[in-house]
Amino acid sequence: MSPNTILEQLKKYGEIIADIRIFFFTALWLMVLTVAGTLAQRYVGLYQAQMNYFSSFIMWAGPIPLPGGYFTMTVMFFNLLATVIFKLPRWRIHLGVIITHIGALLLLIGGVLTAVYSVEGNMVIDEGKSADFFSDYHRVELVFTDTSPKDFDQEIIFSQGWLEPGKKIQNSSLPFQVEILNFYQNCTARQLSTPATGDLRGMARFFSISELPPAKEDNTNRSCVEYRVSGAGPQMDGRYISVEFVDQPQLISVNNVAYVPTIRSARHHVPFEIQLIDFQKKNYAGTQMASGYKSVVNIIDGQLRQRVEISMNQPLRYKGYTFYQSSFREGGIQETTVLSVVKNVGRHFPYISSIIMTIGLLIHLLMHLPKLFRDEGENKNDSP
Amino acid sequence: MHFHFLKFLVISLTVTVFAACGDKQEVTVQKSGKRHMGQQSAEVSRGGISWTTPAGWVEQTAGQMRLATYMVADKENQANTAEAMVVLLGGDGGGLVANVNRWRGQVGLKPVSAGEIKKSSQSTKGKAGQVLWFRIINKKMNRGILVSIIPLPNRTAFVKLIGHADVLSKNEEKFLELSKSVEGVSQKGHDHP
Repeated sequence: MSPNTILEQLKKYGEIIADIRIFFFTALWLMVLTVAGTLAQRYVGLYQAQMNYFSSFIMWAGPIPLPGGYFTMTVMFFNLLATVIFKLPRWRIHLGVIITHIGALLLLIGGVLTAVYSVEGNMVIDEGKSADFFSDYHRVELVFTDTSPKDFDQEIIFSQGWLEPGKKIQNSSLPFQVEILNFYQNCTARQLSTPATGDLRGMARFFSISELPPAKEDNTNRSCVEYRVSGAGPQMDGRYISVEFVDQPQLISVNNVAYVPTIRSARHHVPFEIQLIDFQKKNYAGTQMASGYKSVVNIIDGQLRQRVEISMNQPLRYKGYTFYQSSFREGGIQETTVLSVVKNVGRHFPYISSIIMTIGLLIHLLMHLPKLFRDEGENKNDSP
Repeated sequence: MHFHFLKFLVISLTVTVFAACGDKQEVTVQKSGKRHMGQQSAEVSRGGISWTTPAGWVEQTAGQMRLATYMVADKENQANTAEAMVVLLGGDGGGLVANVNRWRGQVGLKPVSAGEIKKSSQSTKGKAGQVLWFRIINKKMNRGILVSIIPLPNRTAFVKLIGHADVLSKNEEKFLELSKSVEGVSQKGHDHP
């Protein structure tokens, strides 16, 4: 096929994809998803509604698959791109429209970056202590901790993508194999009246787990995983369970090395430490209700020691991470601050794209103003 | 034109279905701070008290109301484990009878009277003074609790070992060593403006 033929074919398909009706229907469908997702949020919670309607390629209306938010915006993206390439070739005339389309494309690209690369969670720090990680709001991980090193613990961490029934986990740092039997996003653990026998080990001898529907507030879900360990010896091989937020004692011991299995919120490490120097709270006069609170922290980054305050309206921005004062805990041994942490590489795109689209629209308006005045003038001359 | 449009939609759908497959599967091996203590005993000072952790007790995440949590395993049968914890509460920590009956309930035993609680109590001398302790075993479940109560000025410390009865019997001496080692230390206060 000659290059000219390929170009002609490309142009032909490009013009089909650039059909304005595609944009019309995708925009309309996005409105439908927005309304449906907003209504569903009342029943299934914010996070589930977002996952089902917006952060999905396929949305299930009962047994019927429908385009989800991701699929709809993917189609819209290619439609806008094809429009710029194949339907607006005369840039001198279409300059404003082209710039506006580029702004819209940047907005969608920013959305992709946010969806793929952004992470958020919370960082909990006791007064006087420091932290170099935050816990994901939604994802969990299965961890086997090797306690044998003298000065540190070695964690072998398996992300949530591994936690599907039938998946087999094997790693050179683990002297045994793990097969996932069940994973529940939300579950309950019931204490047994008598210890279970058979091949049940550790916590599984005293507790049974059963699945619950996902909670409306995603941070109240308690994840559970049931797994089979093999290759650890006859005393250790068997079925185990790990339940989030429940630290029941169990370990898998191989050659006198103890591995502690845990399921926990996925941790994201930051390349520095945040040390809580002091947590300060002010109450409304005569009450115990907080009127404001802030965390006085040290950023410890190599040799750098920088003291900053994080309060309700003054987040800390450092190395692409943003720390917000979210809440606190008191009444225990010491005060504890809870910071919301967000890393979003696409955070500037909405601002940039809005500015570009505004510029594009202004250029388009200015380019067509003379014609508009000219047409008005002709209409006045024509009127009796 | 409609046929080509449909082809485009089918291709898009196929691509997105593949793109939509599954969570990422990642394996990370990393070092973390020594949370799980190994084989050596250690002096610990936390929350206004100090104690000596017995060798072989593996520390875990403490939790809001606990100063420390340990996992204790039976060396001969490592599938049998127990959990130890150190807790510090204000005042008398809720009352002796209420606490003992709550602990009995945790291992599936019925509540008993104050008289029976007094009969079953044992006493030993520790760094902070008299240490009252209880051995509560559910033979049917082969589970139990060893718990000690250490009175301190305006506070009470509790050491609790709960789990498999065999683990408890083999670690009773270590449990008592930890309980006797508990003593109060001066705590630095701080004021908020």
